[in-house]
Amino acid sequence: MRSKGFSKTAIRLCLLMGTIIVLSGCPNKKGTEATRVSGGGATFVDPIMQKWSQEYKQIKGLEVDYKKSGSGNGIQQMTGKVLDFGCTDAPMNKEQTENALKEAGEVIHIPVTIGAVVLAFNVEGVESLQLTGELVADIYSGKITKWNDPKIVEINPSANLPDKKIVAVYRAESSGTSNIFSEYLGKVSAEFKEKVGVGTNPKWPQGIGLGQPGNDGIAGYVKNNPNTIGYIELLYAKQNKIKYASIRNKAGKFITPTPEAASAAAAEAMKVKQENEPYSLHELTYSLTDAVGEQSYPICGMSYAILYKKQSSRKGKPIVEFLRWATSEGQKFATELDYAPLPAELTKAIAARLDQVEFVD
Amino acid sequence: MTQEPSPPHNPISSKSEGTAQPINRRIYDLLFSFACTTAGAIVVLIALGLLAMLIYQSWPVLSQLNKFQVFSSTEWNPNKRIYGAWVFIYGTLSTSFIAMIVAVPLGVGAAAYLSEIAPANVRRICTFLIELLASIPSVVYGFWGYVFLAPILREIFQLVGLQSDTSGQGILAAGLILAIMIVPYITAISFDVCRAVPATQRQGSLALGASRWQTIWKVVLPYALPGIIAACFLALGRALGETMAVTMLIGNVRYLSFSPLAGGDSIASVIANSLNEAGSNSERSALVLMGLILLIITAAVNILARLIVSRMYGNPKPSRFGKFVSKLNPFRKKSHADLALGHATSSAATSYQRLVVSDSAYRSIVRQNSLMTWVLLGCLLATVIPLFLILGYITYRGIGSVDWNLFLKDANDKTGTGLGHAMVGTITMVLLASLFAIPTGVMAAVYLNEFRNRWFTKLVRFIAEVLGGVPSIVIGIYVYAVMVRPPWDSDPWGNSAWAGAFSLMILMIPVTVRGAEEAMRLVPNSLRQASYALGASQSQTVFRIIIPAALPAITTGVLLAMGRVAGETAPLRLTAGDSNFWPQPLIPGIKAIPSLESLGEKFPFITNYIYEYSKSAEDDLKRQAWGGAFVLLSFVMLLNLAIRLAAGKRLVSAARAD
Repeated sequence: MRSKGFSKTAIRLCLLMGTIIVLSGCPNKKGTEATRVSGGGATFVDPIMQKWSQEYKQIKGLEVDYKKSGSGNGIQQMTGKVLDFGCTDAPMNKEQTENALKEAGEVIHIPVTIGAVVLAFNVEGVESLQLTGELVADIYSGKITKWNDPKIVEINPSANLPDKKIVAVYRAESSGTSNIFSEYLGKVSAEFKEKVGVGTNPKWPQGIGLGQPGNDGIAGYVKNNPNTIGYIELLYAKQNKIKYASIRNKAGKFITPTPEAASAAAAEAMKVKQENEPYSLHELTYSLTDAVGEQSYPICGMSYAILYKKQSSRKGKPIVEFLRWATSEGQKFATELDYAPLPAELTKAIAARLDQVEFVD
Repeated sequence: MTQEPSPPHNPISSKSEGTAQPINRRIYDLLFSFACTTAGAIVVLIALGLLAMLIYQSWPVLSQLNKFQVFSSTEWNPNKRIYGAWVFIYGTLSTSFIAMIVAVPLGVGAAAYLSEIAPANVRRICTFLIELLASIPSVVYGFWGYVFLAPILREIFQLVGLQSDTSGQGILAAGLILAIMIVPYITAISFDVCRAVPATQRQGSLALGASRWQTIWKVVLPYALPGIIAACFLALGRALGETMAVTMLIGNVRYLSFSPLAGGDSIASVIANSLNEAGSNSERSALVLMGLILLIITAAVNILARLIVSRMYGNPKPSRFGKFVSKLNPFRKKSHADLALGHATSSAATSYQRLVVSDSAYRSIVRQNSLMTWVLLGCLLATVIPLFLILGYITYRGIGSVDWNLFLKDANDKTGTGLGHAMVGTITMVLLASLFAIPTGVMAAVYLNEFRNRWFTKLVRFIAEVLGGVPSIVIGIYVYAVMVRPPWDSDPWGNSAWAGAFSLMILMIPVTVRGAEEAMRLVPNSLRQASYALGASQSQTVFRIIIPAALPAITTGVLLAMGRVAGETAPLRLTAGDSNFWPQPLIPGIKAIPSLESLGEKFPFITNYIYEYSKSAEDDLKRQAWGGAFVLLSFVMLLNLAIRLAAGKRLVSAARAD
């Protein structure tokens, strides 16, 4: 009797499988506006993106499913239409823009937030540290290898720096934060630009340290391992109570990174016309590193949401509405998360840019 | 019997007079044979598709190996379109090499101790513990290595004054974690083969006056050698393809450096880190090419193992003992030990002490014996202690981290986040994968068992075995290519539970096939003969006699496979994509049951949260990672415990397909 029951079960299982295959074959793609959209990419914006997602769900019921995975990932997955929108701290470069153009047309960049990249460090007994761009460039190109290097001691006379090797932590994956950081180092040190290069995936030299994935990966590593230094977004350092250095800006002042110092840098940088790639390729993209001005923190960056200009109304409309909200009302959450809010005139320009999104169905 | 289906089951009538019935039955049998062959063909198709897809996607670089300097450069620099593979090949091989150096002696020693020396209850407890060690998900190993092993290594480096670039992480750390991961495999399988050495061999050796150590070294281990070699190669295959634990510990440094203290990168790790963000088409195909290289390396290891074993098994086994006895010939004077034994054999009537060549030789044998007993015990302890460290550490950190929020909230909840959605997601995808893998796997096993003499059967068996050794990250590449962004559809299908389940299915099928085939082979032939003698057809025999009789063992294999895929991370990161939200529920309000539509969207799974949160510096996320690891580990442990209680059988041997 047991055997008979078994063959019946087998037949039922087969039927169930068949039904599922048939049902899955005809997904319901058309119709009303989506209640969930997928985004992903930069880890730089992840904290504020999660905040926006939580808040916006309460207001509009839309679920913005943002997964951090690095800017490079955001660009590629958005280009391949695996994600509905991406986020990146580095505007798409020429090749990426052309690839996207081939795939599904023009991509628009929407600035969503401004933040500071800080140099987080973990050295026993050292509470505060001052660094210059040149020094950081030397550390990350392997020229300075010890914490008690005379050049570091010279500007930190009171700090008790140990005779230990500096373990420099960098991003293991293609990252917009790496882009902001290397862009700055490239501006202050021609040698760095030559040797290591500027971009989302610089060629870090051998022996300086190791790679970790994500802002959170570097933050976790620096927090848990002595004699390390790493570059992360300000919030990650503050939230995790990791110490970070003040950096000398173009005006020669040591600036502790704060949202205000980032705002100051942004205000200065946005006065300049963007002539270099990739900023010249897109509207509303700005290079914020090494800005002039007394109060400007030199390593700042902007994070962009990227999406195709041509959108389906099912997913495109909710995304555009969400971005409109995030770049206006949503900016009120920026300061509490240690980002710099977008300037008012930029918000206006963004609204106009979002109006250009076309809905094709 | 009265409730049998409509054509009444009278064997005599169906044999002597049946005209309509046999036709009916022939159709059934034809259908049955067709279904079995299809299941076998699915296995072959999946494997061929895998190979074809990897070659297709890597072709832009594969066709111009020189231009991209794949084998002529040690530099990996996507910005300059230079894709030197050696850094990663070296990383993969060196970590596996370290793992094997550590794991093989430990594993074989522990197996020998358990099999030959340990008292029965120690043996029972230890084999169980080692099976548990074999079932811990790799992301949990990685997590433990990240927070426990690497910092310890860092402290040790500092104590002995070594300067490390990476403060603990690196080739050595990755190799050690791999060693801890593969030791249980080697131990479990070696233990099985040692136990399978006939008792007469041991008795013969001991009767000749050999010490216990001499018996182990000269009789048991040589006799079990083919099986042990097979175990080592299977373990090596696993080490080569391991992704998560390695990527969390190897340091991600893309330079060739031959110091074990330096950071490095492995093939699986670079794929996991870079595949989905490759900035150019050539970089992507270079990464797929890495996957192809990894596939070739693991398949070669796999095939080599089978060749060696089949060649060794080709010799008649008893000859090994014969050789040993012939070595005891006193005129060959191999060693003191041999000499002493030779004398002992020649004149067994007199007392043992006097027969020994000299007192010192005898004492050295005794010393050697007791020393080696301690060494073997040490091997066993070194194998089991990491288990306690891992289980203990995760329980210690995890148990306090489990609260209701962990089960009832998703990662986007404003009032506190949890991993409930991810648990639902993992369970859904594992069930979905089982739904497809079990029928396919069992039918393919039926095909292997019932249609033994076809050439296609040999192909299916071979491919199922090779498929079982394919690293999961490579399966991730494949499923991403066919189900997330299929090249034939301009509109990508996107990450989905279907894609995730499909990759899990490919991982489950070989284990299921292997387990089911072994189970069916164990069904006594007399049952089958009785069934045929009563006039039952082949399909009736299989479905009514063989499968029901083998069902407990098949279930064991299936549950084991489910436990294994529940802990998978790397392929799901590429295919299911992860999500912060509960899947849309089927019935509003009941979040635990996802709707059919939601299976087509990005889908959460718990291992990704363990991976991501474990690196985080944020205390709450870290707490959730501990909690998640604890829940996952408890689930897998309970599954194992349940299987063991239900089946009372040792498990790892059933899962040898990997």
